[in-house]
Amino acid sequence: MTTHEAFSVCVQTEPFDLGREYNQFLVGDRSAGAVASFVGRVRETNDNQNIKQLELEHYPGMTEKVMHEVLIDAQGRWPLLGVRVIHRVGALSPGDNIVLVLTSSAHRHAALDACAFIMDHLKTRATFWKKEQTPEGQRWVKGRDSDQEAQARWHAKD
Amino acid sequence: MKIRILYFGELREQVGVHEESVDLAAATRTVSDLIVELTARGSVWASALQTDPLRIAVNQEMASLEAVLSPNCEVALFRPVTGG
Repeated sequence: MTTHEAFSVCVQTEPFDLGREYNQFLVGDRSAGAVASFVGRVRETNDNQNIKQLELEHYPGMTEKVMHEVLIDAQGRWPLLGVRVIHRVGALSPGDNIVLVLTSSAHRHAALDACAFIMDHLKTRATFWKKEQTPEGQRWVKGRDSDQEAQARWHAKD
Repeated sequence: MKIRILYFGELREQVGVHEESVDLAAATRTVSDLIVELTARGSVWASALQTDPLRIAVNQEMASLEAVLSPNCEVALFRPVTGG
């Protein structure tokens, strides 16, 4: 088994396997009492339209940089032992996985909260754009106010 | 001053360009000036760049319209992000 980095981000076209990533994430680890995972997937409907395919575009360089910044922000808030983030790009179909976040800590609250924090910040800061193919044609997904609010709640006391 | 400009997502499709090198007009100092210069290219550019919301990154950091450009900087123009 190759050595694994405790904190890592990755943008890739290939599918990922949650079980495999989980095992690799924890190789040699005996201190993490809690691991939280989140997987974001392509839904078959969005805004009352059937989704045939989703195309994900990103800004190579800036995306990875922002993902690292989000990790560092999370590390500043919780005593994390590891974080693994994978975000896919390219052509995806309903049911396909888009994004994976794994967080580990000694105790559950840090792992769970950091996982949610990372997702909320990826949604609003990481430079990805989704384009949907529907039976009526193509459309670019619009940013949602609810995503901005989800991010803002982490900073309410700042 | 020469800079590199990148366009992503919907905006890239609207202007029909992904990446270009531009030798800026002497009066173009800020991101806001750059938008004015690009807008002057024609109707497609004007409608794409004057439609909100527009987001800007300079050297891979989010930037405001007031941000000052520097030689060889990388400016990216896009709509709000929708990943995750």
